[in-house]
Amino acid sequence: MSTVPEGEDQRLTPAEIESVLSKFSRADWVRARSLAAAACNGVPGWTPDDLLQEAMTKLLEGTRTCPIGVHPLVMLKTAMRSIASNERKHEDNSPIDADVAVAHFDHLPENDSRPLAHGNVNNTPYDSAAARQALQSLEQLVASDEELGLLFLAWGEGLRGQEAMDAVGWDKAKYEAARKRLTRRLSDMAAEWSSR
Amino acid sequence: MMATTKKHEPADHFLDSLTDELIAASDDQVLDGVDGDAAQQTGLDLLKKAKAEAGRRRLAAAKERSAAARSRATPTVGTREQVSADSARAYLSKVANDPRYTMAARNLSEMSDDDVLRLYEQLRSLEARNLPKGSSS
Repeated sequence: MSTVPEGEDQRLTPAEIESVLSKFSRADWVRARSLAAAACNGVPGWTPDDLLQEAMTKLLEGTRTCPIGVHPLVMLKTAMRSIASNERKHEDNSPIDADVAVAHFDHLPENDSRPLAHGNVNNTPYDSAAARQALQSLEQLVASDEELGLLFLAWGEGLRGQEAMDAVGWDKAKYEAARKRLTRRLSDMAAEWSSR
Repeated sequence: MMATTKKHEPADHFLDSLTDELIAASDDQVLDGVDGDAAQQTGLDLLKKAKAEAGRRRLAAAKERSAAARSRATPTVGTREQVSADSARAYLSKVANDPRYTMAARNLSEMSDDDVLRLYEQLRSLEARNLPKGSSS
């Protein structure tokens, strides 16, 4: 894994960020794309690669910064989570599904066969709605594998490493096998979406 | 519907744990069964596109800042935003006969809109600075 250069400034410059990213190894890019697949879940119209590219763009543009000493994957994760969250909120705040007609009255023109819906102001916190959306998409990712479902729950509680291993009651080999399956599933998802 | 607090979003925790686990995992574990070469190629392509897009956005932002600075420096009387080229032509045509001004004998209809507007702005700026209030329309 590439290391973040040391310096007197508190934040990396775009040039330093580019230097770090350009030194990513093959494994680093697999890690980055897996994170993108996880962060992108529930963002309509975005692929993991779209999200990864936008995060790098904002970092290189200078509209997102990164303190010195932060791991590059953490830097990317933070940027991607923020962008994805904003996109989900934006989607929540957008007009209702284009396939549904929104009317002030209980009737539509006779030749309009779309289902009728009333406009609705959603006053629930956007953060929570966006988080639920992301969670539901991630749950679908692990739905077919009971062990992955358990691992997902443990990680969702903020457990990781030995703590997570103890919580699910697996030995190291079983834990690492499940971790590999999960990251592989995310990596495959990123590759599949980018090939569409 | 219950609002989840910011401190406990499972999706956030999941992403944090996944990040730490990916960092902790060895390269061999991460690359096992995965096409690492393709992932790297894709990543570098994305980085290249990101760099190009970042450059475009920075240039666009610089242009906006520059335009804003120019706009602040421009006299407020008779700015291009407020006057059409036709109105500026009509005004210049009218003042061309004013003995207080010496204007080149040019056919206004042959001048470009930009030139007409520039001339108009210069004239209005001079008026604002030199002429008594109300001496021109």
